[in-house]
Amino acid sequence: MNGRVASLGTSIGRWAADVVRVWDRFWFTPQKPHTLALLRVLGGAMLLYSHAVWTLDLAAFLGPQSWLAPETVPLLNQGPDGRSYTPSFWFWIHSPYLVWSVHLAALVIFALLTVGLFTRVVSVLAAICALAYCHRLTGCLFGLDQINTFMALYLMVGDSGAVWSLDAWRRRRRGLAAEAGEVPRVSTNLAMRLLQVHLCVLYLFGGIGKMRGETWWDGSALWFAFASLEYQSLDMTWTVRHRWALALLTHLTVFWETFYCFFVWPRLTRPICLALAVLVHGGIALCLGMKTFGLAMIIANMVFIPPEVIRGWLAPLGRLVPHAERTGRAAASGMSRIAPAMPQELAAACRLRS
Amino acid sequence: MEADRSSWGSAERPGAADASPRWPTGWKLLASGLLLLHCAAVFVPPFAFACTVGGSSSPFADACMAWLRPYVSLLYLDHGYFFFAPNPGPSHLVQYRLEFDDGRPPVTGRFPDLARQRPRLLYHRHFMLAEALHSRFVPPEPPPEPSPPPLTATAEQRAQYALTQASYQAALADWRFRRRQYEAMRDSIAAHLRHVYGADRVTLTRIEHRLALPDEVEHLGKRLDAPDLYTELSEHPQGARP
Repeated sequence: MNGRVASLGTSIGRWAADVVRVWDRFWFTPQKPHTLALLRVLGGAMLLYSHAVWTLDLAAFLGPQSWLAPETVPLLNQGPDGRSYTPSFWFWIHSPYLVWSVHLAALVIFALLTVGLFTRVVSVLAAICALAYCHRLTGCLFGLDQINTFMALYLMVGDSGAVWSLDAWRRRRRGLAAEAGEVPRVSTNLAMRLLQVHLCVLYLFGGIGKMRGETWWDGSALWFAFASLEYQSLDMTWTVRHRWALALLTHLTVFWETFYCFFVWPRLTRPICLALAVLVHGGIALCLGMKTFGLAMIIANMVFIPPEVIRGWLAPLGRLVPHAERTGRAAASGMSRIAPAMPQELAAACRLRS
Repeated sequence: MEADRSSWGSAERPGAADASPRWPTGWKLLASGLLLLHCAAVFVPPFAFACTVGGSSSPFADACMAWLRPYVSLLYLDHGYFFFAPNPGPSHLVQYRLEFDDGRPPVTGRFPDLARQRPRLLYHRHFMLAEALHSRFVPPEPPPEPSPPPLTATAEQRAQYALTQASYQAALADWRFRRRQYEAMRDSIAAHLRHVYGADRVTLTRIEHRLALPDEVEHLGKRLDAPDLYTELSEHPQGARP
């Protein structure tokens, strides 16, 4: 009996050790920055555009006489217990000049994030700004803002400006090796993992929500999405003559969304899962009038593409930039400055190249 | 390039370079605690939302949500992610009528309005505003108060009444809170329109745009903007006191 208990204890101990090892590998293995850098460029551009659109009617949304006045929104943000945890600098700004100044400053921050200048600081400011807009603009928000804010939050965690940024360019100008920015970092992996997990949760509950509706089971949900005139940007009512196809796409959407969190991880099914994401969100962008939301979701899904693949895809673009050729020479002169901070193998590789 | 193509699976084993900087165990423990907190804050809001069916909800999910609410609200994570779910439903618009004391003729309009709000994202902001006003609507009549038990009621009937009265008080407090939110939102929209047009009075009407059925479109040739698909929603829903 004692032997069995001991054996059980050993098995549990091994299992627990495996859990710790897998947890450690999942979250704390250093990762290269290329995927996160691409997300910074595309996600930053989306943040910039979606906030720039407020400019077209700024007073109506952020002014003292806006659709939802600054004194109304805190009440809407309250929970039933009367408490609110949604601070925003917008609640303190009433002068129209100040509203414009702060808004323009926020746009500059989003632009700096996109081009990757002072990225570590700017990414924190961008996340604060994105949250401040969301807390102030309750009632005018939709899925795009959810994606925008969590992208901004996770870009803040990792060094998204390590490559393909003005920071990287300035580093090269100072004579530091381009490879220094490519060092795999734990923080980069954390940012990517957080975004991956968040996407899985989002799709899981998106799928569960749809599974509670009759129209997602009888195959008519996609028709009703197309029949919503307020959403419609492309007339798809002709599809009513092909109801079996509508039903097939409806069922495909539900199953893809629900099981995304399982099929996106294995190497074999990930490309299919991501291709379906492009199809579904591309369809939403084209047909349902939400180009920004569809595009933001496609951008977020790129987090599942490994940095090596992204770097391989974008390498031809890098060769078009003349400065990239000079990197090696610059690296040669700057090696002595960075060598102490660099891992030995990477420093050796840089020396060989230069 | 071959290596690049074959590395699709590397998300399971990130681009590990043995020489790259790794974190000490203490940092990892601290980060693990924060990661668990954050992942819970990402998972719990849609979980609690999914666990709310009709008027009831899961006490467990509610308790988790109450505990995480400050963090969830601060980071704008309080979402259900029920996009077009459980079913794609009707759209809601807001119609307004502005009146002027200086003799100008009344002005009517509706939002969202694709002709006036460009680009599409700006239109969508107005659309969401109209949808938010509708989703916050609470009838002006409070929930009905339960009748007290007769003088001859048994002890069990009195106990039952006490329970009903307690849930009525909770429902009444909830109604007051939500009604105040709806009225604040409606009044703010009205004040904005008065300010923009220099009007003296404004009347807002919520409009529901029903989705056309497939048979109506295929066999009857109904257009998606057919007038009979639009319904004016009363501030006093059917069955309520006028």
